[in-house]
Amino acid sequence: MTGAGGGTSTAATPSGGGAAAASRRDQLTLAALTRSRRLTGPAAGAVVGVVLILLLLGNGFTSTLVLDMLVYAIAAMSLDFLGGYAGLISLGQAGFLGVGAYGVAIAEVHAYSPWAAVGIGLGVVLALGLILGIVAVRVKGISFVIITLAMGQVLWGLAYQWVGLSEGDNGIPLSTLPSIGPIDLNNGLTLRMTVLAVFVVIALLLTTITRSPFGLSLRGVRSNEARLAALGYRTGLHRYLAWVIAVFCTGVAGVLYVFVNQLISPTTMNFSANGLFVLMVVLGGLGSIWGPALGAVVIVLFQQELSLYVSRWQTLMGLTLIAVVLFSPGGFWGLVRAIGRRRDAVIARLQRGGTP
Amino acid sequence: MTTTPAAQRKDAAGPGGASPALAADHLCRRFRGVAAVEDVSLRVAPGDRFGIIGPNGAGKTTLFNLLSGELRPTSGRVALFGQDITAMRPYRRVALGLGRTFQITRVFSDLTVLENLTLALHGLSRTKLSLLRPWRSYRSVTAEAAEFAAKFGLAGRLGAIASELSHGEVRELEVLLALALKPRVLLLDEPAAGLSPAERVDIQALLRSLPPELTLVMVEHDMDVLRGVVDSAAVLHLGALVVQGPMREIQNDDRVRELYLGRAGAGRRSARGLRAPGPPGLPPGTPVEGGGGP
Repeated sequence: MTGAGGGTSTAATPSGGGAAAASRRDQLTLAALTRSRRLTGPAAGAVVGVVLILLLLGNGFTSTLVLDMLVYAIAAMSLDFLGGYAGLISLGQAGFLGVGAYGVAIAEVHAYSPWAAVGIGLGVVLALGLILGIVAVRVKGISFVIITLAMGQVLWGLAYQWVGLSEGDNGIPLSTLPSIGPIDLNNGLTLRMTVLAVFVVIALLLTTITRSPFGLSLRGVRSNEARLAALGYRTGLHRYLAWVIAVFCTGVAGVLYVFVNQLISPTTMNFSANGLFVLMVVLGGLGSIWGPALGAVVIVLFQQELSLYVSRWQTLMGLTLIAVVLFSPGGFWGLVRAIGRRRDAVIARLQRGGTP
Repeated sequence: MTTTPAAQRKDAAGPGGASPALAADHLCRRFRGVAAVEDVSLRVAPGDRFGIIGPNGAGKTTLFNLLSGELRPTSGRVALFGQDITAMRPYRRVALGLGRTFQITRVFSDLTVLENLTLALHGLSRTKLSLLRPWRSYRSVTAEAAEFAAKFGLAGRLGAIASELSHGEVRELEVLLALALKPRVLLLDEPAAGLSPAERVDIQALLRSLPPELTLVMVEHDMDVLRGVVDSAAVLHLGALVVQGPMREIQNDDRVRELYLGRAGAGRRSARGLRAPGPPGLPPGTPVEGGGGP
């Protein structure tokens, strides 16, 4: 295809040696761009991976910051999976993160082994997702936002007021983390690498699902649910599955959260925490999975780094949000996509044999 | 008509029986006491091309939605190849071979043509719940989608977002989505609504090119669109059937002429839909109207 494009270009501009040189340059550009389309993603992933590993090798403030980013990124990506693909924006995300975290902590308080506690934490969040999903996916749009908000607030209320179970305002500290053979999560470095590994697994899992026929069906649900039903899809089931996957992945983030912070308290699940996750998704770019991870990075930077220097950091965050919504409705990831589209347009033009 | 459960099961087993492709028995649907469809019975034989005609407000879309399952009837029953589907939800009917299109075009407007067709082609297979394999890797499905698009004039448009298509192309895509499910009976809700005369000819050609074994039931406001596409038709007025028979007879039927020339005094509710509306306030011709216009 490359050769044919270059040939057409030569034939179309019969003005001698200059044209031949130009067409050769086009051909090289085309080859480079085509290669870049294939390699950009993996290359960027490798670079980011190496940077993350280097940052996490240290034991200071930076690595704690990165850990927070990764944990929040998992929850933000799960929210995006549900909101950006199936069109169901949940305002109860922090609640499910809290359930995962509290599940582990409470199980340990009741003398279960750390591994059993992880199993119990994930089991509880999965069961809760399965049960609440029956109610939640009956509604769509703003009703869904409100019903998930209500669920998040009820979960927060339970954590706050069911003192016998949750120890109320004080929260529950977590003393021992699981270990298996040489992998001991009580070791800081092992824990940090495990969090990174879980982040990578969840991110790849979610992006894989979004590219599957099921992922396509979720975009169909968001685009036109009645039409999808008329094509033989049981759309309620598809929304339900998306909900369960999102809730479970958020629960995984919750387990990592309590590992990293070694404490879970109701503050983690309060209303503004729910709002922060939606902010991460909107800033990063709805419907892109990687974008919300970027959003989590930015929000954590604002919240924990910028707040050291600027007392009015929330004002700056608000202004950033307004700027993003106005100038890049697709969020940060929208900018990345725009560059990709530019490249595709240049490739298409070169393949047709035009001049760039 | 089959009445015993045993007979129903036998008929459901295969389309080879004598049962009609689509049958409606005494269908009624009331909205807060107002009858939108009143005691409508239809028989459409396999392979038939059947039209449902009537002015706006005649209950065509309600009847259509009763057949497709978007609405449940207040009373009466619907059968597909002898199998009772009255209580079945739309996606189950689709699985049994009842496809439909929408009057207000419903395609996935922010998805590409290829993605639209892929969704339709996965519709009846278990692969629609596949999680871990990219949809683009289902080569046979993407190839079939490309073939479909090529056969019906959307060949170069596979990568186009549906919202960028022309109105006529969107209508074609709409019909293609329904056809991709390989229905035995296809319900078409005003497929030519809002199209230019040239685009109408295109869509009529598309409809005529459909496989002969496919049963078509087409709701249409404009009799010209049906001409040359359907063999027989039923005329609906104020929720009730006025006449049913071959298209030639329908066109020459006095009652239909009256209806379409507006002398029947259809009342305020349907006056908009008639080409030459009669004077308002004349008593309705059928005892159905409960209180139409505001």
